[in-house]
Amino acid sequence: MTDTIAGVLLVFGSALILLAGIGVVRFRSIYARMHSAAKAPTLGILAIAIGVSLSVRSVEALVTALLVVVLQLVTGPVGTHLLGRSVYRQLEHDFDAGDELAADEARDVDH
Amino acid sequence: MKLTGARGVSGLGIWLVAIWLLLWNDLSVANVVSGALVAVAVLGLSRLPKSYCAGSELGERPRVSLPHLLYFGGYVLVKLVQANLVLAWEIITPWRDRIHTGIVAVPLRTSSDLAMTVVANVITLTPGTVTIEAKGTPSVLYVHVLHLDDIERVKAELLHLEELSVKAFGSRAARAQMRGGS
Repeated sequence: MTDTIAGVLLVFGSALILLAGIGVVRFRSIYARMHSAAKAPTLGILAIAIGVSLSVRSVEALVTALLVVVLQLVTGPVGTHLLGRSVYRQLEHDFDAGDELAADEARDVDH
Repeated sequence: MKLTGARGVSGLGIWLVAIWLLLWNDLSVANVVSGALVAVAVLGLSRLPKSYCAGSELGERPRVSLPHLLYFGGYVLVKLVQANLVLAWEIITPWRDRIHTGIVAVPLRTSSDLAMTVVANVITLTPGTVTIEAKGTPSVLYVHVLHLDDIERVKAELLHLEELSVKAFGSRAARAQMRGGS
């Protein structure tokens, strides 16, 4: 039973990461690609870590898996912030639903 | 008690050594010594934020509230799963392009560096939102939204996230700011 759950989690996690990869290729804007690359791997790694600790069933594996998840949760978004920020600063962009950052910065320049 | 100067930095060093030991999965003298060397090098080379070294007015010790922390953790987990399902659906249905992107400004009520960092990180993990830029005083986060159909709803959701994170581990000053709204 435990092995079945572990297997399901491992396949689910891998599938999410695969989907994220497809998303990176398929989406047309760099921002959408970023969304795809930023999120799915986090849950994917979480599922894989739980799956691994369920199937290995040792304290060491559990501790390492926990560490992997925590470090991924803490460091992953930081890389995404930096990427998003430099894309925003360096490239032309058009947002079809508005851009309050550009609006605020234009206002700051006026003052 | 303020997390100031040498005390705060050495506490951080102990954390680094502990993580180093966990990564090696082995408590030996060689690992402790090499871990300490790495920790000293990392702390020496990195420029820590002022709130960590000098103790800004909000550099108070974070206070963890367990029930709120569990609720916050659960909330983030649910949002994370939701984010993945939404994104997966978007990826496997290429013929239905529902993407309307834009950037919204989210003025935060807290000015605590710690709370701001946590909120910015969690925003990146939750559905369709990625933090692009953060500004200090007054603290504003700029968030890129994948499906920006209702700006006010997105903002309200992100502010709710801020409230939950301050409740879970905000310092006393950060909590007071949340209540007072100043």
